Amino acid sequence: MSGKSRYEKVKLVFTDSIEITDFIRLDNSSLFYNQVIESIKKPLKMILIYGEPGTGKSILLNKIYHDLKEDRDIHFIQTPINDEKKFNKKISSILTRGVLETDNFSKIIEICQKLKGHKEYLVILDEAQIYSESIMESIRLLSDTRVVKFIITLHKTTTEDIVAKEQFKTRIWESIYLKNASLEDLEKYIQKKLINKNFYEIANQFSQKDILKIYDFTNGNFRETNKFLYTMFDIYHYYDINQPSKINYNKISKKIIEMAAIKLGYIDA
Amino acid sequence: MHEIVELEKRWLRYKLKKLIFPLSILAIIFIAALLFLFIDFSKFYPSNESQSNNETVVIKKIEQHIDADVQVESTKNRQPIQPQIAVQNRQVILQAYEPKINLSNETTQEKENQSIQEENIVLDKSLQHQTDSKKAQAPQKNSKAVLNTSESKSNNLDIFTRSENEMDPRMIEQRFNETNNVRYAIFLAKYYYDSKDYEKSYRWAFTVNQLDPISEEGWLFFAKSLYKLDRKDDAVKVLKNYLNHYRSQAAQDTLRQIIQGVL
Repeated sequence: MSGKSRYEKVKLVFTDSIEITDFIRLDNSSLFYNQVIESIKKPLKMILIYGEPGTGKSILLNKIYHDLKEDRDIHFIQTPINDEKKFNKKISSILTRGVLETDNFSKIIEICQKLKGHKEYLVILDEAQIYSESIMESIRLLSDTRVVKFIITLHKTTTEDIVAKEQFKTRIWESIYLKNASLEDLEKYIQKKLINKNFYEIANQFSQKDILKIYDFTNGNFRETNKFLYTMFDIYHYYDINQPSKINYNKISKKIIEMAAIKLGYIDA
Repeated sequence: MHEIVELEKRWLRYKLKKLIFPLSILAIIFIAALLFLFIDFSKFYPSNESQSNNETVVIKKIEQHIDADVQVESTKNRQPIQPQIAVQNRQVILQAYEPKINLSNETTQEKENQSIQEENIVLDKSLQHQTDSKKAQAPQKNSKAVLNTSESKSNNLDIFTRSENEMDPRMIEQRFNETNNVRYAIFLAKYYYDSKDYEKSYRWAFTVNQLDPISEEGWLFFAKSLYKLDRKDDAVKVLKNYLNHYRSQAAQDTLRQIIQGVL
């Protein structure tokens, strides 16, 4: 494909990212955000945020991190560290503000004992289901010192209910379940995403029926919706450059929605 | 680029697949509507099938009444005569008429005259035979028997009459050919007489007389048909001959009407 098309930029709106600028305030996301903020204020050892992949957990945590980083000692570990020594070094670095990096867990506990009552660190762990059992045990012990408060996110799986795990049962005082967007939220999400990037014209091309069709395919999952719309505008991009006569620039093409669904496997054709 | 072209082809296939289902439903609805219309029209223009069904119902009715008739006859007045004499008479008649049993060939006047003569002979024979064998029986009882038989049979014929409009006589003829039951022949004689087809009525009455020479209805329709075929003398002769052997009010009435020319 060659040449320039406005759809090339439109499709980039829907790239999967957890950038703070991509956070869209919806009824549900605002509710979850406030819930987490309130939970942080409480004297909890651990806060669990769980939900299916693509429900906006990571971006919510990123938003919280950015909003609180000026006022609190908050740290966001986006990429899980599965090596125990590296994890210990990271924690010790957080506790000593980079002065000491040790992989000796006993020493870290000692530091925590010293800091108890004087300092409280907030550590956000994304994708916590990836952490090994031994690291999870370390997290449990660290949270018991009440010097480190963990906010962890987990994927809700059908085979393994992390919330039910023994090490979390006694410690989690707050668990927040993130759900997929409702139809109304999904519509707002798409509209706001496009408007935030000044694609007003494109935003206006979406009808209720188009949104409903996309919702039927993605079930209101943000990640799936992003993927869907990216693919859809990628097809638009192709037609805009190669066969512009096939595009109605006043409304979203049902054909292109269905083509995107076929490409992503939502429709078996 | 190639990917999008391929995707478009897949989309076209998907749309076609999606259209097949509603089109099939439409086709089914269309066919169902056509069938419905066809069934609807068939109410106004009955098909052969429905006619045949009606005929089957009528035939069943006839058969039921034949059974009932047989029961009445076997339990009432005709009981002493029926079992032995009728069988004997049939044998005599069948022997006498064997060469001329094919009714369809009898079209000429000569044949009809000949057959009348033969009928008379048979009637004489059969009646004589019965008279001989039933001398001991009281005349009044005989008359009563005939009257009772006449009543019950006329009841049956009424039922046939009710059914006549609904049926095809060809079906009854077919049934007769299959069963050789005299009641079908009586019915057909009456049917053709009422339909003013006196040739056929005559022939079927003739058949009745062959099968059951003591059948009052057979002789009455035979005489009435002859009268209608402008053979009044033959009709009178037949009835008088019958009355020589039986006291039959119906036969007397018919004879009087024929003589007076008011039939």
